[in-house]
Amino acid sequence: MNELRREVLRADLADLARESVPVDLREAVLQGSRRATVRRRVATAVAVTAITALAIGTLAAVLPGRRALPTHPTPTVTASPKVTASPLGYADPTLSAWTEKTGPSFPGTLYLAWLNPGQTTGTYRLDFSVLANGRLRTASLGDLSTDDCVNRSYALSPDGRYLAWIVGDPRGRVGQTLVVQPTDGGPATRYPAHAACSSGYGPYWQPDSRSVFVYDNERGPGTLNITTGAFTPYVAYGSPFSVWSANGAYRAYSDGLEIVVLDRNGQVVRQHAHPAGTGCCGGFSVRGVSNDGRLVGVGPSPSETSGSNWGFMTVFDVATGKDVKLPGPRIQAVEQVVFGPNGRLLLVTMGPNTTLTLYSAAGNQIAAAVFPGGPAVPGVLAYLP
Amino acid sequence: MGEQPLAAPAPPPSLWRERATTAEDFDAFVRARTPALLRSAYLLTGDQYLAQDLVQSALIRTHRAWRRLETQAHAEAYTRRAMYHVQVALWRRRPKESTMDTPPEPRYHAPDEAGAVLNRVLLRNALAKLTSRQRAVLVLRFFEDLSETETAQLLGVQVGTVKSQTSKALARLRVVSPELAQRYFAEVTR
Repeated sequence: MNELRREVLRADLADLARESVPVDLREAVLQGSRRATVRRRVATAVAVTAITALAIGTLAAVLPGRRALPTHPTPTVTASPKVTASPLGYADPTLSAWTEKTGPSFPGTLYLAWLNPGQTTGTYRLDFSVLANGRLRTASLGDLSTDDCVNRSYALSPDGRYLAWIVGDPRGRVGQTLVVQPTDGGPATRYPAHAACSSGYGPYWQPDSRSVFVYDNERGPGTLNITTGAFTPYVAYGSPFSVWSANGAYRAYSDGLEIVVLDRNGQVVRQHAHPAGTGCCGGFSVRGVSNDGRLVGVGPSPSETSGSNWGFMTVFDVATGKDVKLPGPRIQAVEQVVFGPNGRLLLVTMGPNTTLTLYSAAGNQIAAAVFPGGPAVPGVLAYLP
Repeated sequence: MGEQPLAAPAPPPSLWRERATTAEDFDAFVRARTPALLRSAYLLTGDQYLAQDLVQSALIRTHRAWRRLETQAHAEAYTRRAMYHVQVALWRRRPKESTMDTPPEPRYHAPDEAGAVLNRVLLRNALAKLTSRQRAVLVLRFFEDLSETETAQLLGVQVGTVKSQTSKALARLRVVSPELAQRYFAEVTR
């Protein structure tokens, strides 16, 4: 006997329903309503005319010595074209030249992304920054809207050499392009991949930094080799929407109930239910996996996007099934957890300012970089020690 | 001094205010409720543009009935009813229920994660393989959380039809997506 898990189905339906794009239908509705009124009036007038004509014709026919009036063809009332929202335009930006200034001191190389207000109202600028040796190099993609594919898809290769993003209509209606931009300033390469324009669908860089996983609307999930342009359909075990460890040894995903960790050959090495998958506390998402495949960075699902839980991450031990106590102050809002080599942990915490703190495996603070507070909060794309 | 001719009476201010408020109310209603209506419509149609068309058609009916609707709650109920009725009318116009051959394309979603994306892909593909009638019943019963009786009333069908369509929809989900079957159905030993 099987029993329906109503709550799980309900949560999944709600999650899927959020894919709908909110649009302003007011004008279209008012126009449609006016047209319906006009159509009704025309139809009524036509009906009255037809009945009158019929009556006159009938009268004329029955009256002696009178010829019947010529009858006119009844006009056909055709429906007006349906009003639909016009397709959204989309940005196809090119990366600006890199600028350089003094930045906070931090060991290794940090790759950051920031979303800042653009030059005109309602537009945004996506800044990519590389912090190394106390110098902060920044290049931008401009004139974006918050809905642009670019803003929802940018990803940095594990070796930090390439940025990739998707260009196209946010509604996924038109053919889209995968853009791969070397971070050393070389020319971008464009691949005619009909990649899905939606957060979470990729692109996901593979550990070799030469192939990118994309969810192609025509060919399905697969990896695109940026050297040859060849597309290889995804056939491995488990979800293709996986996050890789920095060393490329493990990948992890959640199926909404459990967290699954696989090795690079696709063999499941660990699997454990997460408390948030029981339906008690909303959904959860896997956002990173440690180099030993044991710890997984867990964030809330989109259904938990309100209240104090928004954006905060925890670290889950897939071996024990328990949350790991994070180093640093007991009460802190951890926005992002990045797993480094040798058990190091990079935490992005929010307060009046955004602080990036690097901890050793023993929980001792190695370094910290503070970025001024404000609307623009940096997200860490990668950390190379 | 002779009596001054009476000027044409100005419309009572309250009337103007009422009309203006009515238009503003409708505007506010559309603005506030369109996203939620679109979510339901998206599940019903599996397509952003069809969902927009469906909501637009329902809102046009609501606009034309606006003066008869006393509160926004009534308006929402009226719009949802109109939406489902348009959908039901579409079923009835079709000679035979057909399922979509090609799953709709993935669309915009807020920043999220891999696992939820996989579930969405699976569910979207599975819903695309249901008939419109089965999808509507699933949406009403498990997304809108309506009872069988309420669902039947809204769709204008018998409760037995709702039961049979729900059963068929769930059975079809299990067939077309074993992964979802595992996720949605728990083994119960009696």
